[in-house]
Amino acid sequence: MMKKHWKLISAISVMLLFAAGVAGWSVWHHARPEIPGYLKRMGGDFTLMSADGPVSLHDYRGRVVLVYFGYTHCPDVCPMALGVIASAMHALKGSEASHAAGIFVSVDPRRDHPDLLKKYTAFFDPHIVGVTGSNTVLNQVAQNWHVSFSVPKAAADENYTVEHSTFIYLVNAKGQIVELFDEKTSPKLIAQAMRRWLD
Amino acid sequence: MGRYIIMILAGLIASPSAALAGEVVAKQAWVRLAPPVSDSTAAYMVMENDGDSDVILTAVESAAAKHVMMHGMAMKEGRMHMFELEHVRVPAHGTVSFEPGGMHIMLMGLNEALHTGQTLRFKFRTAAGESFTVPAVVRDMRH
Repeated sequence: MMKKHWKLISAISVMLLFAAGVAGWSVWHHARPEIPGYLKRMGGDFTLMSADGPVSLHDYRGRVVLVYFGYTHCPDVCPMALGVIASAMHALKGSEASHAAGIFVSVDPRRDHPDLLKKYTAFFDPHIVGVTGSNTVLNQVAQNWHVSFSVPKAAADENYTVEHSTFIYLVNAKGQIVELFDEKTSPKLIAQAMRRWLD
Repeated sequence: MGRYIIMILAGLIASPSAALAGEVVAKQAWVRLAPPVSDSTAAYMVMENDGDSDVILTAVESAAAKHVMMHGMAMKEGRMHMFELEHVRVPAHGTVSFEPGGMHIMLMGLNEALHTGQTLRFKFRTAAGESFTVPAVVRDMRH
């Protein structure tokens, strides 16, 4: 009778331990989201020019960063994306906000000089820095970040449109791309993701 | 008194649902406030056709910018590609939307900086030779 009783207690204990293990793993897993494999092969450090001097992605270690590639003469998707980035950053408060940043990379350096980029990004949020670079550097960054773009051969004072990828990249505090969004993603969802990667 | 009449008339002109040509009515028309250094932006609206036949829009113009056109957008080889639409069909008893991230009215080379609350006018032409004007209010979409 006593033996039976102990067997039952042992079985319940094993089950409880297993449940605690599953719960623990679940909490740990939730707190540390995984980077999808395809994103691990994208991104990397870069140094581009802002109105206030060179800006490197590694300057942002310890912060989560939203990165977008576009151009200032873009009528629709770029202002949408920058609006979404600004709103997501705006949704973060206190220390979260101070550990978040935005980078707008112009792929149209012929027209988008760093001074102009500063005024452009400040319209959305002064915490978004506008950068660009030489065609050689931009092409290399674009290749590393899997950004596709095409600037027509036209004079700087001509009106032309630029074809470009429309991803909003979320970069974690270690400088790795961890999630992708676009101009139609809800800022609330992006803010949640930023918080998740700040934990 | 005269001032009030002018205000009422201005209010009617700036009404979000206006512009009638044949059976097409443009609703929810607005223009995105462009950042001060940008000379491009887009206008959006919903075209409703209550008539029994399709209406084909063939052109749009506005004094606000040097180039105004109906633009389509498509993702091609991983890039957002914009292209001018020579015709936009508003189906009988149907609607067509010019909307953010989709088909829109492109304004390239703004003649002057826009400000919130300003009304821009867009004149559309149809394949039937008609034209109608849509007023659209400039909106600041930040936060």
